Amino acid sequence: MLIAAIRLLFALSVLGMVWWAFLWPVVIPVEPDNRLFYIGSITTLLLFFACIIALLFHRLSSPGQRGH
Amino acid sequence: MQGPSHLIVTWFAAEAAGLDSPRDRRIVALSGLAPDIDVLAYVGGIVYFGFDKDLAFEHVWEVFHHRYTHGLGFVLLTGIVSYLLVRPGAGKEGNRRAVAVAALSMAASMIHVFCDVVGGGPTWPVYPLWPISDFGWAVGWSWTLADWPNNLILFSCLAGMMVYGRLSGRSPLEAINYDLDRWFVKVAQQGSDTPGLQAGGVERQAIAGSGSTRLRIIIYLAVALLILAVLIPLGLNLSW
Repeated sequence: MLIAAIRLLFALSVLGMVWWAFLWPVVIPVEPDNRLFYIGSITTLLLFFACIIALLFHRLSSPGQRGH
Repeated sequence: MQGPSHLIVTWFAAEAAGLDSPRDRRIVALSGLAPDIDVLAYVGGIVYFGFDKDLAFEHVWEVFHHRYTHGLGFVLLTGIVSYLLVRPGAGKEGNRRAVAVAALSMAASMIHVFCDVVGGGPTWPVYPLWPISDFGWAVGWSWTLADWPNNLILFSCLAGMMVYGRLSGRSPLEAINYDLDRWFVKVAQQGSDTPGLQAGGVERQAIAGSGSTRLRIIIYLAVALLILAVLIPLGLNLSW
């Protein structure tokens, strides 16, 4: 259940990156120093890294996942 | 964000997404690096302008960089190429796998663009809608390549690569070369009680001899020096 939630967050963080990089400048008139963009994009990046770390730890703890 | 960071982050993303095949992980990781292929235009420009880097920078790099490979068109191209690389000879199950790898490759390419918005510098806009639109944008606070957040991400990626290689028996270097990855993992695991190492038997025990620690330190120092050699000319900026 926890891993499913982390996978969902991981997918959401990737979608968030697509939003901030591709859709945001189209939907919202571009302001180079927009506060919401700053907070949103940094949060998305941190969430993405946190989910990767959690999923890698899960993968390491799963049997038969070591080596090539 | 620096090129190695793009490669390592997207390899870890592929690994976290559960891709089991080293080749699939390699395809996704290289898709994450691929938008920076426009550096070849700069190299070509340097040769074209008789090795005058300033002219090449002004007429090629400033025009090309981020424009044609950091947008929807290149993302779609990445997905198509990835699909074709996985698809040949595959059945129905293989087709599903090819679609999954292509989707992850496109995501990797888009992650690259996002990371360049955040960590590519304020003077290097991306063109997310190219070729539909030539609209380019950048944010004023974007970190330059030499700023500390980019350096922190790079060093964290390299440290993560060493730790994960030691623990799992595979590393992002498999995106470059499988033999290089195996060699790196072997070095990282020397002196470890990792099961994969125990199974290696006599050969690995022999390698894990007295010279192993020295070799590992030499390799880590070489990597650190290589990074500094790249970053110092960029104007290494460690201030907050």
